[in-house]
Amino acid sequence: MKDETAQGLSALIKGKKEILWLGSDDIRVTAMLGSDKNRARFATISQFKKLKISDEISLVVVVPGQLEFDKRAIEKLKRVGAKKILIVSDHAPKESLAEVLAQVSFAKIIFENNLRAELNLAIEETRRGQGPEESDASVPRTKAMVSFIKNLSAALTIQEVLKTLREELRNFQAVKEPLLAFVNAQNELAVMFFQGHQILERKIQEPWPQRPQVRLNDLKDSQYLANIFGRPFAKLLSIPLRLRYLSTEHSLKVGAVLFFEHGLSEIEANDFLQSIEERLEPLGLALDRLLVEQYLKDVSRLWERTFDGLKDPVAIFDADSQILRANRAFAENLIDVRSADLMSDKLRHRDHDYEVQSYPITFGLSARPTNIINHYVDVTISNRLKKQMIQNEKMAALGHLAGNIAHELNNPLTGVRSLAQILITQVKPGTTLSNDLTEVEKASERCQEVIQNLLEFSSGGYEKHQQYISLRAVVQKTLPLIKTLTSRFEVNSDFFSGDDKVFVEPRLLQHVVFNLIKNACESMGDKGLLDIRTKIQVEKMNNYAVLSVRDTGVGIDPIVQKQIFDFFYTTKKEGQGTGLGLSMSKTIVERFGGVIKLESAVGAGSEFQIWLPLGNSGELPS
Amino acid sequence: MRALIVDDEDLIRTSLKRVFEMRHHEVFVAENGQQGLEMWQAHDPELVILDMLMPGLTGAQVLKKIGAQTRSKVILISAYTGEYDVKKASELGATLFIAKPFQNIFDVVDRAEKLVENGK
Repeated sequence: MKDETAQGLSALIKGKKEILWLGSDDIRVTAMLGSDKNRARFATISQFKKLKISDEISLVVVVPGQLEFDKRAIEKLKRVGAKKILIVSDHAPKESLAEVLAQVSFAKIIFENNLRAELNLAIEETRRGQGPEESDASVPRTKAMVSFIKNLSAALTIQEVLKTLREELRNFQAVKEPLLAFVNAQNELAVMFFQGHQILERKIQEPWPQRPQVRLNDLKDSQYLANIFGRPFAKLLSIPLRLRYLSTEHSLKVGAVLFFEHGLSEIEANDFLQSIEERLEPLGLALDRLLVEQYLKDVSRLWERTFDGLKDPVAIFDADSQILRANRAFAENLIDVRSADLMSDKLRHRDHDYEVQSYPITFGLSARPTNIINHYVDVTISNRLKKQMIQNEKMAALGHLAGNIAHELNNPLTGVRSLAQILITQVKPGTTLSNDLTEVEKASERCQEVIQNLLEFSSGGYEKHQQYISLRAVVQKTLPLIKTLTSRFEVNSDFFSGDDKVFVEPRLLQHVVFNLIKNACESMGDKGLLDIRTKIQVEKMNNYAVLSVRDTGVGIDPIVQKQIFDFFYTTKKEGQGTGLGLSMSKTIVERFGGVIKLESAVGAGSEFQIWLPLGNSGELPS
Repeated sequence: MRALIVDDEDLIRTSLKRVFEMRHHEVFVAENGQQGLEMWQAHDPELVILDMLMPGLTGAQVLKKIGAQTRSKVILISAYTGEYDVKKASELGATLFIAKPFQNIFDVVDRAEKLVENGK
């Protein structure tokens, strides 16, 4: 008879987790259910009172022996959402139990031989949701769930999600804090775990076991965590999470795993698992949301850093040429430029030249570009280099030309000069003829000097004549040579008397000094003040011997200043200037490692300075 | 003495010839290397003033052809001072190197006379 009953119940028991079988001991239940007992959810009354059950049990069958079924048990049954309680008893309940049952309308005492029919009826009843006190039981559970979801959606970090989860599972005292293994927004494998009140994140190397099933006390999981934390993990509950966010770690099938260390029995673990399973979906959603948020934040930060990291100014405009965004270089360099100028092809601002490259882009449904990205390419340096290159080319061409011309001219010039020298000896000194011949001889000598300078300048052979010489000495040696030029002006001179040796070719430097003084004189017309001085200056930790030549002449227009050192540039009348003097001077000074500087204002005169590295260290200036 | 002047620049030949003749030397002039070589062999001068860069045979080629057979003193003259100096000239078989342009033609002839004097 009992075997039959067991057989008959089989279909009702199978897979029905919502039915909880309670008994005073195993024996009674085993007797009633036979081999089906293993498939049923079973607990003793005393176990049940201690159990933390948070999932749905709609139907409870109580198989009393020495029943300790009391008020506390009933309260707990209400809490877990039981809608019907069937108490199997062939006897009337004891007085104490009757008293308790009187308060619970959904409890029913049935005879054991009616069990199958009653059970069927109760299942139908609970499934239709006609449990007499349905609302009483499910409202707190629903409320708890809503509050859990609320907390999750308010979470701003994954840490907060873990805290919320821990809070939710607080009733399970045998369960430790959750531990989450996941792929973080930086696409790194990571574990997040509690350490005291803190939650820490740590990068890991190996991905977690890629199994989609829930595991209880799995050896591989224990080994996996033991390897990471360097301590044993005895009992583990492993719950794979299905996340939609997987960053780019496509090789992972299981994007995240929740691990719980616990001290639960198998039955308790089942309850715990049921409790957590219905929370997995909101949990997964919250994690997904946070990971995507973090990822977007990172992407946006990366974009911003890239944008700001660009050396050139870049700005994004809307269709009305209003700036929507601009990078740091733009803010630092172009913020005060008129908007009309920002949209032009070329731009010059604060001594920088920009070429503007525009890229129209289209957002949304519009057929026309909705935005324009302007890239302001700073071409200041490249322009300067280009100019320098042109100068160098001119220089090389000049050198080549000078070499050829010099050699072609030297021969006939030697003849002219020699012949003049001979003829002078053959005519009477003091006569017109003698004087004329002397002029011819002098003129051809000057020609030879010019050629010689040009040759030396262009051939670069000056290095072997370079020597340490006092700048003051060079200047003082040059001054008498141009006395005819300077005699018209008041001349102030002040020379540094200490060591001012520079490493130069004296004749070339003399050529430069000569040029500067000659230019100064020519700018002043008939009268003025010529100021010539040398001094020692320190700039950027380097010592320089400086020659300054200042005049009170007409001054130099800023436009002219820009070109004044260019080859063949001259403001003098045709035939009076070659446009070579200053350009050659600049090249010479630069060859000696120096610089030439100009300060001038129209009407206020000009000051040219040459800065030459002080060579008193005895080392060759580079 | 007998002096041979080999230079393709007319004015240089003329002026050198003048000074040598003023000092009563016998002067032969050649306006290129080939002519210079022939006159050198024909007249066996005590002094040869030889330009370096000339059409046809250069000064260096002339020196090579003459080789050791001559006892003439040789003054190389050139505007290419960068490439030829005293050392290079003596390697080629010349006694003296004078760079063009001359500062003073009388100095050139003075040095030539001294060279021949000392060599005697």
